[in-house]
Amino acid sequence: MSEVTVRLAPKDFAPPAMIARMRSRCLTIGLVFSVLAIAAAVLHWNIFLRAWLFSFMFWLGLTLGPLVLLMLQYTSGGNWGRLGRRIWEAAAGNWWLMFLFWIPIVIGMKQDMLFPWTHIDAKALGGDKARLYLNPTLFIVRGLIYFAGWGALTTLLYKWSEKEEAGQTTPAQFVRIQNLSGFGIVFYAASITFASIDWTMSLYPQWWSTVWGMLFMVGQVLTAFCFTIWLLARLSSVEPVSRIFKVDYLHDFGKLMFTFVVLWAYLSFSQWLIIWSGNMLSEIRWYIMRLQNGWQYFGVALICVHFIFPFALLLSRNTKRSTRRIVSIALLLIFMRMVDLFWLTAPNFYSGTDAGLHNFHLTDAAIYIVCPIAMGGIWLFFFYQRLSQRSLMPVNDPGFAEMVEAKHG
Amino acid sequence: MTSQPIYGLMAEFETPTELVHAAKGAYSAGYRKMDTYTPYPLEEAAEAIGAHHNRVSLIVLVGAMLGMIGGYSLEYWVSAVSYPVNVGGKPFHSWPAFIPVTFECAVLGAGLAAVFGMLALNGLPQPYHPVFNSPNFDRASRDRFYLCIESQDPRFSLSDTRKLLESFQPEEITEVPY
Repeated sequence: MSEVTVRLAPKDFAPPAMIARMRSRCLTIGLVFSVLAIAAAVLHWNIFLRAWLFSFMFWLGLTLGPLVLLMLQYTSGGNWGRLGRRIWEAAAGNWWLMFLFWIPIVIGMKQDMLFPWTHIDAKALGGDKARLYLNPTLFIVRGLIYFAGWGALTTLLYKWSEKEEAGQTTPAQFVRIQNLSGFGIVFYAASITFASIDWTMSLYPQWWSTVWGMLFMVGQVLTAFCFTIWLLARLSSVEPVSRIFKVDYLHDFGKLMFTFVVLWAYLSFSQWLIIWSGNMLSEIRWYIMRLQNGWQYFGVALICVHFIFPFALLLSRNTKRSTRRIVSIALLLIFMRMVDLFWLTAPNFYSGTDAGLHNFHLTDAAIYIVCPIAMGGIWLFFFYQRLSQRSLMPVNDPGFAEMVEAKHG
Repeated sequence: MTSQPIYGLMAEFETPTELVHAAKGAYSAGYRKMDTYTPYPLEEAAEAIGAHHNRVSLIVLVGAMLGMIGGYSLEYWVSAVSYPVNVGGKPFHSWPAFIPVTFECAVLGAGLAAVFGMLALNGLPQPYHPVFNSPNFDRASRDRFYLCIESQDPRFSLSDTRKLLESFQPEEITEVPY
């Protein structure tokens, strides 16, 4: 075996022209749908707010899931992490955009149009103590703390990464970013637990579930894996990623996606099983709302298409090693993530004893479709913008040279 | 050269890369009856000699299915047929409550099927194996990588096979006696 060491430089992994094309396409879609979303906001402000909250939770997942993966791969290592690092940095960098998207939700809360706890009396809320947590001022303060934390972590990680790319760090200093990441993961777990309570669980303030935060964490990481698989598969067909891409990497991501599908099913089912077994009036109402008047079909679809179908397919090694098949499953799961978030957040607004889903008119459906696309177009524009500014691979990572060497074992 | 029949020719390599290279070379030269020996699992080596795909996964799937059906049937029989007890006014056939046991039994079935299926297919435990007659072979569990082409292979010939192995520049080539 020859001992030729090829020194790789960041410019060897300059982003392909494809990214610029995808960026401008996303901007067009984003702007067109933003106009529609603004029209919807003017005409049906209350429905717009619900749909906005739903799409906010989805795109927040695609911002924070990558943030935690970024920190996780610094602490754990592994080739999958090096491969996804630039994608996750670019995605987590959209935290400020999500902060802007959060403002309409605050306005909706202030106008008593989104969260029942802003206007129902203390008795219905379960006592005055609930007001100590669920009040408008603290809602905003907590939100600011979450975004400040996420923004600070993303910025610090990004700064480090730029220094590393410029070759100004030594492998020995790598431990600093690992320590920051360890702390960051703890902050993420805590902040997302409270954030998911604030923004989604409090839509039905009489109800609670202790696994709620975990459900959102797992959902966000799963969304991030699916998105990464889709994007890496696209990038792997062109230079420069095609030069180092191996089907083994896809296999690794497939295994991780599989794990999170199972974890999602495990957590969702245990929440349902515990509440179903307890059969307490305070808890079961939340499920009853979701298991009749048409909403039950979403529940069945979630069991079958979010769990059983991808689970059965992903068991096979060949599926995980086939680009076409794994990308199809990833896209299906991204769609099912939206269905899940819809089922978790929407029925509260359409739960009337006589109507349920029948109250969900065509207008509602249209706004629920327009909002995520408008938000997504803009989100993806800034994502591709950031992705196109740097090399696609962390060339100066201590383990990168070893990863690209044509080595076995 | 011995006149005794031998088990095969064993080549010793210092790195996994060289081993995989040699294994691929031997496979494309038409050899099939061969095996690699490494200090840790080396997927690419198994793939190189065409030994990666086996029936264990199918056995595990069947084991998991049997466990799943068995677990659910047991729960159903106990709770709805043999000894029905009214718990909180719920139906006797309360499927959500059966899921954890069904899942655990599927895992148990899969686990047992994996262990015994693996043992059945790979022929372990095997108290005697000729490769251990090779003088340096204990390093296969420390820091060396071995490729052994067995004499049972129809293409095997002492001189040609040795020549092929030499072309991969191993540290050493030894004849493995039975």
